[in-house]
Amino acid sequence: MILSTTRFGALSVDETQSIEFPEGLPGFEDCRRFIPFEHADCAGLISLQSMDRPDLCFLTLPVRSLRPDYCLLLTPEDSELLGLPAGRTPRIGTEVAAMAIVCLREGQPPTANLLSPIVVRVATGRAVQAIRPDNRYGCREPLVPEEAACS
Amino acid sequence: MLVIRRHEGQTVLVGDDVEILIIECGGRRVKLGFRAPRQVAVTRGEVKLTREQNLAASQPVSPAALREVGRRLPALGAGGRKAPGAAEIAGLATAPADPWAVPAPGSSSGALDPKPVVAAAQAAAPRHGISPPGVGKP
Repeated sequence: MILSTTRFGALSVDETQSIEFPEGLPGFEDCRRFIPFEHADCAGLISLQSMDRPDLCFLTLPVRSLRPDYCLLLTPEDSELLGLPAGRTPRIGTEVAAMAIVCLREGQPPTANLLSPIVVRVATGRAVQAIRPDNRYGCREPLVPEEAACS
Repeated sequence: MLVIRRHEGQTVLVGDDVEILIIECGGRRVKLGFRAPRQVAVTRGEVKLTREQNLAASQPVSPAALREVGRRLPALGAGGRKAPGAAEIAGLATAPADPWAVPAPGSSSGALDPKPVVAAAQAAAPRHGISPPGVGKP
């Protein structure tokens, strides 16, 4: 199908490859289907383009490109939404993909939301924004951890 | 901030309509119950934070801000710290060059060079073999 987007113009996408958030994302509860793709001009940066809203496109980075030791912590509710057994942490890379939404603000360093990673079950394309039940990471983390100490 | 000590089974009232019940106190967590009118939204604090952050992140990105990420991305992948997560999203397609992501004048083009679609993860988990979105006819 041809997907009309504000940012990229008309995109030819295979809609069977979309990812689906059964409950949307906080603030965007009605936006359930997204197409992920990698940027040609920014290696590693992954865009999530909404199929419901042409103007909605999140920039994300894999959590482990930001924090190589990042481990997921899912609530039983999020595990259920993904169709995974509760109490077991899925493996990043094989079972699930985990990305952090990047926030770019004029005049400020970019930040990543590591409190609430986007978790996609690779086998089904089901996704949730999994808000961590602990406070190990914040929602406005610097892209490189050293920056916090240096700046 | 008003601070009140309560035991399990006791309640706190907020106004006339909102009742908070202390159901259970564990070592590090408490379990609360809320009784409130339907129009009163009861959400966890982190959900509000996440909503605000999502709204901020959904704003259109200026070329300067995107360049800033482009500038920092090589740092993520360089120096033996090649991002392990980059290969985790199986079969990602490559988007057409973002018209807004113009490299800064005088900057090395290396920072924003196109990168081939991740192939390793594709082989491991073929489900998300998203066909490359191409630019359609306008």
